[in-house]
Amino acid sequence: MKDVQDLLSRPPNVINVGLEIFYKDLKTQGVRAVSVEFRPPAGGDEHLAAILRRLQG
Amino acid sequence: MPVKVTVRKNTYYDSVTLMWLSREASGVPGMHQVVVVMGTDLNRELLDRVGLLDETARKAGPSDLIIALEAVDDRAIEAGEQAVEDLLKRRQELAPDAEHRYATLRSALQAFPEADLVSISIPGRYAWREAETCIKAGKHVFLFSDNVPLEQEVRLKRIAQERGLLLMGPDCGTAVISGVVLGFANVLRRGPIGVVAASGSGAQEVTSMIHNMGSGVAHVIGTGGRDLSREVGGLMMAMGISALARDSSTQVIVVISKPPHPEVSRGVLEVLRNTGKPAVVCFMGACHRSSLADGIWGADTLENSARIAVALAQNDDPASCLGHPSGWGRWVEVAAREARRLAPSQVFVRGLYSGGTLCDEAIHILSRTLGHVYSNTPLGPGLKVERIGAGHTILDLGDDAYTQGRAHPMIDPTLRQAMILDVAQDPRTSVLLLDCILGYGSHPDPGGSLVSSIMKAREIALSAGRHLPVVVSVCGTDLDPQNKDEQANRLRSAGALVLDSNAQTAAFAGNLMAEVGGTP
Amino acid sequence: MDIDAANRRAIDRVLQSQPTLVGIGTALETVPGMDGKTLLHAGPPVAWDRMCGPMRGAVMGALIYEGLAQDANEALEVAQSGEITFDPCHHHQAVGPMAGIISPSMPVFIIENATFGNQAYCTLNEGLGKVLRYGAYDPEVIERLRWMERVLAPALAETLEVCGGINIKNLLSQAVQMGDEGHNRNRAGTSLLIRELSPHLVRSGVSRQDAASVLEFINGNDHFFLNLTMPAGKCTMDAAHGIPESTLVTTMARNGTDFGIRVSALGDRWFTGAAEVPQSLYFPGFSEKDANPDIGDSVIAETAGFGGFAMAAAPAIVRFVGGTSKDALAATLSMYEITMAENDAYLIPPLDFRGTPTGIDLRKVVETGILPAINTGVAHREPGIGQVGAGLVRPPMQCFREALLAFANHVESVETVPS
Repeated sequence: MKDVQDLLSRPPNVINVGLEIFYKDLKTQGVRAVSVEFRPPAGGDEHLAAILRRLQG
Repeated sequence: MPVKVTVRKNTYYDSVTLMWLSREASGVPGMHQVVVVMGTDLNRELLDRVGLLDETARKAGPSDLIIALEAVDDRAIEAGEQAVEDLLKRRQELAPDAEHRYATLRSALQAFPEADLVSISIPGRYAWREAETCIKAGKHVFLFSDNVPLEQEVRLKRIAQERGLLLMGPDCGTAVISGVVLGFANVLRRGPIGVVAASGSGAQEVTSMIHNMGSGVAHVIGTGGRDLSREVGGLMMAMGISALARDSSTQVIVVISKPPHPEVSRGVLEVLRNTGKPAVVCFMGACHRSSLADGIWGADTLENSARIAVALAQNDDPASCLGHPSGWGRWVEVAAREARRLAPSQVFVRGLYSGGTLCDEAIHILSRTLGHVYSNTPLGPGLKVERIGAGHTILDLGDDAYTQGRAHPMIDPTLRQAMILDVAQDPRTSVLLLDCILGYGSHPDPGGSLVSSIMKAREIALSAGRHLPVVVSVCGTDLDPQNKDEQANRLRSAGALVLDSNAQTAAFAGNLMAEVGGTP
Repeated sequence: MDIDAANRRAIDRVLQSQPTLVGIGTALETVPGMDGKTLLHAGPPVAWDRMCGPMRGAVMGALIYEGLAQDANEALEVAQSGEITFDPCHHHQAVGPMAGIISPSMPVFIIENATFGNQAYCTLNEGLGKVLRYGAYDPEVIERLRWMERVLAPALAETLEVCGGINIKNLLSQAVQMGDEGHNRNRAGTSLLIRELSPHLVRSGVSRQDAASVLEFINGNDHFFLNLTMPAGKCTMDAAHGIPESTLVTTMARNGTDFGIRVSALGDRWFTGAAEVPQSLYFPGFSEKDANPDIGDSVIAETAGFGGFAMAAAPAIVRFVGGTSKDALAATLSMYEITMAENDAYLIPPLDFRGTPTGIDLRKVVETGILPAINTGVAHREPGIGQVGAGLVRPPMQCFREALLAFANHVESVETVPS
């Protein structure tokens, strides 16, 4: 389980997906982070999203 | 309509700047036309065509700037002139905060390969796919989202375990990894106590108390509320415990959860025993008294979990620190005094909570002395309610039933503010219990947001000839963004009784009711 | 099915292409499928009755130029008669700016892809204002076209024989470092071109008088280079078209009525939606009510990884988009979300010389909802008035959704079923 020990050995670098406030809090703490402004795939169209998943391979 | 034309000699601006400027200035209220151009033949012809060419402009040359304004009145002309002036002077500032937002997780992973962990807080039906992408990309996950299908949680936790990755959640609100807060958590001194929790507010209460007792926290690993169900089997709990076992900064391990499924319970305790490190387990409600059994301390309250852990970390005997907290005698007196001021109609305890486990703890403590306690998260099916009504009632306002189309009460106090007044209006309410949770993620002034409701509530009771004690504990540390002392002081000024832990507020209410009803 | 592998092949072909100006020919002799009664136009297929004002004007002008009509009235009759075949430039390895009309007698640049051998063609740029591509058809316009045919083209043809080929990709990559983006801003590219051509023009057999008028003509038209960047882009994207299973968008084009795209794996199928009026800054005296919907093949620039996709490199264009460098950077950065690769030749100085986002992936556009950002000139809706502004426009999402459904049907031989 080296990976978890790795995680616990120093402050993590974080990708934030979703709430902007969580990203703001990370930056306030001086964490190395980037943020993803998540939007539902294919604008929420389930049919297209399912097709995209098949085509992503 | 008034027209004003000004010419600035030998003042060059490129055509793109001037087009942009004209557009911006034409937004000034009352402007009919704005044309700001260099005095070329073509432009002077244009000005003529639109009726803005006067003598001065006619004489302007290609290197002179013509500012031509037509507006409804002179005031608007002046405003337009000022706007043009400001725009001409404006220096293009370089973006102060041009933080780029990635449109997809995939491009963020590509741009930031050094990322260790991904924090996901999007609707559950999309969240699990993003979590899966992260795990397959070798990243740990903090999964705040709830409404993730159970079968996906099971499947993804198995994959994560195979790859040696933590999947904290779904429905995990709190984690602190190497001092970095994820989600809702308090700012804590680093220290030797590691926590694995299937409960957010439980972890917050325990860790805040650890800090407040002068000790510190190595990590808080969240597992999500469903980890200790039969289906999930405590997968992440086990991984978290093992990780803390191997972590050199952790000397004492604390486990916090609602009571797990019995099979899962056995497994968790087994893993805990194998760590060889002193350990404390709080399966809320599972025991009435803290005690040592098979090498593991079982704690009856969150407060005692913290006290035992701190004692273990300091090589003291936990048994010696489990009595009543210092100053408890005074609170017993206060409870008696408050009880004497109640009207005969006031016979039921009411509680309005933002933290689920804090609500749970209050229900457990009070059930022992009061008997039936109604709740939306009750101890038994016959006691389920959705609102204050019959009997002793303690509600968890962070439960799904109250958060449809509304933010969690730790962020948005409005529902609780309204319900406090309802409770005050009910003549049978004898005492009101509240929690007040500080830290990252919480409302910037949780205490302040309760102050006017508390005052109003006590006034409502008073004007109806009743006395309403309001009892609160503030969950937080002196390092939190909200000023803990100030929060407590303001609550006191509003007339609330502020105790040092959630368990104490519940015990206080129990004492108060004992004085009222003569129950032992 | 390995779409990623197909896309890697496709994008490699894009990046390895070397579009080179090798000569000038006459459309009838040079452009495949051209004949005496055919007029090529910009954008996806469109019939006369759906053509916008500027395109109709350009058709009429072309008919007069060709001698197929004596005047505007006759030109109108001929255009409506059914005698004339209208077809997209794109179907003939060609591209045209704005109305993009190519008629048999017009001279065209010949761009050859030195790596893969395919060719592409485009007319020579007439200049600004009242010109054919904006739908003007006065005698002045016709006169200029004739001068281009009789003086400009032959002079340049002879010059090119002397100097050999000119690698347009090289010139464009230098121009991008000098504040151009190859679509709306071509001043640096035009300057580099004159620099390249001049010694050879002088050395050739062209008379001093003609040489002077040629140089003056090019010098007076900042967009001369556009008619080279466009076929360079076409030449590049054609080399990557027709790769099975590739979701590379190889064509984007508009005819002033419709916006159309084509995808590498889907052959000649067009996916269209209504062309929009760009968000623009208007020249003094003009406004949105004067604007024609989006028109021209020049969006081949963005398709090939320059133009709007290099916006961050072109400060002068920046103001057209929201007004600040920050917005241009943001617009360019978001294009990386929908493309397959970073260009190795077109580098963006303010992004630390990061390569432009290149190779639009159909899947990513639908997934993210991010549409390609296009910088474009705006034409007056009435024929023959000219450019009225410039701004930012996006294709309709409909094109990409339909293309994705068609692609899914194409690669999965069974009927697609939602999972």
